[in-house]
Amino acid sequence: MSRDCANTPARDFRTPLKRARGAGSAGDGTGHFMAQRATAAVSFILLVFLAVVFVLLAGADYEQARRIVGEPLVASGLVFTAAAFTWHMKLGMQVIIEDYVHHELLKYALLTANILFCAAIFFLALISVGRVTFGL
Amino acid sequence: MSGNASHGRRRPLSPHLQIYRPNLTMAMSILHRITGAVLYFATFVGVWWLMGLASGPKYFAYVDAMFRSWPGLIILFAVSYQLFHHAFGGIRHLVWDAGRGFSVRSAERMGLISLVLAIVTTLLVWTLGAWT
Repeated sequence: MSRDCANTPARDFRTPLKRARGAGSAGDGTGHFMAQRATAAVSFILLVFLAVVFVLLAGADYEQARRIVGEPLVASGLVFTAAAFTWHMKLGMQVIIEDYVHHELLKYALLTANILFCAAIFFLALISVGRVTFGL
Repeated sequence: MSGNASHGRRRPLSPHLQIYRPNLTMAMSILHRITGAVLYFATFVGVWWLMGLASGPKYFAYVDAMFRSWPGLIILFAVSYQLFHHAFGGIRHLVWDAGRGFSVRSAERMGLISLVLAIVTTLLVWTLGAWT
């Protein structure tokens, strides 16, 4: 109780409930929750697409694989998949870090590394698919 | 809060993992997180293949050989299963988020169904892949 008061400005008329509301372990609201569900639903649909592409690529050699991946529909779908997956996994790994890492500095270092890793995966996928589809 | 300690007696704690008998929903819950974490790093495998395809025939031949080797195929199979496990398991979470399926029977049944669907879909995709 004493710690609570120490952190509260002198003229704060908000009740403890008002201050706690929407502030989970991340100190954040429902935006993360909603984005995780939305990217999950989109990812599920894209997984069907990915499974089809996987089957098509299973027997393909280099030239065939480049032709399949270079199709505008497939290339767009792959970039879309990369976007949905990397966004979803950024959100998911963030929750895991916030759940288990309680050392503040380490936590923020890992949260930053998480964003960088997911961004890197997305950019690698984007550039690779782009290079194949634009034939560079 | 410091109030508990000043009472000078041990307060009852809520039961933790070791108290419960392991069950399906519990296993599916922890597996959802584990598969999610594995898939997180496995995305690099998929991107590596795309990088190989973008880099030209020589490097692609190396990447492709790795993918088609036995260890490569086993890793790929394991990753694909986890992808479907996480995806079908995730559907359960969307159902729960919609406020449905909270009874023990529903939860157990959804867990079992998602598990079966994940296994069947993985085998189906690999069968189709081997066939083409």
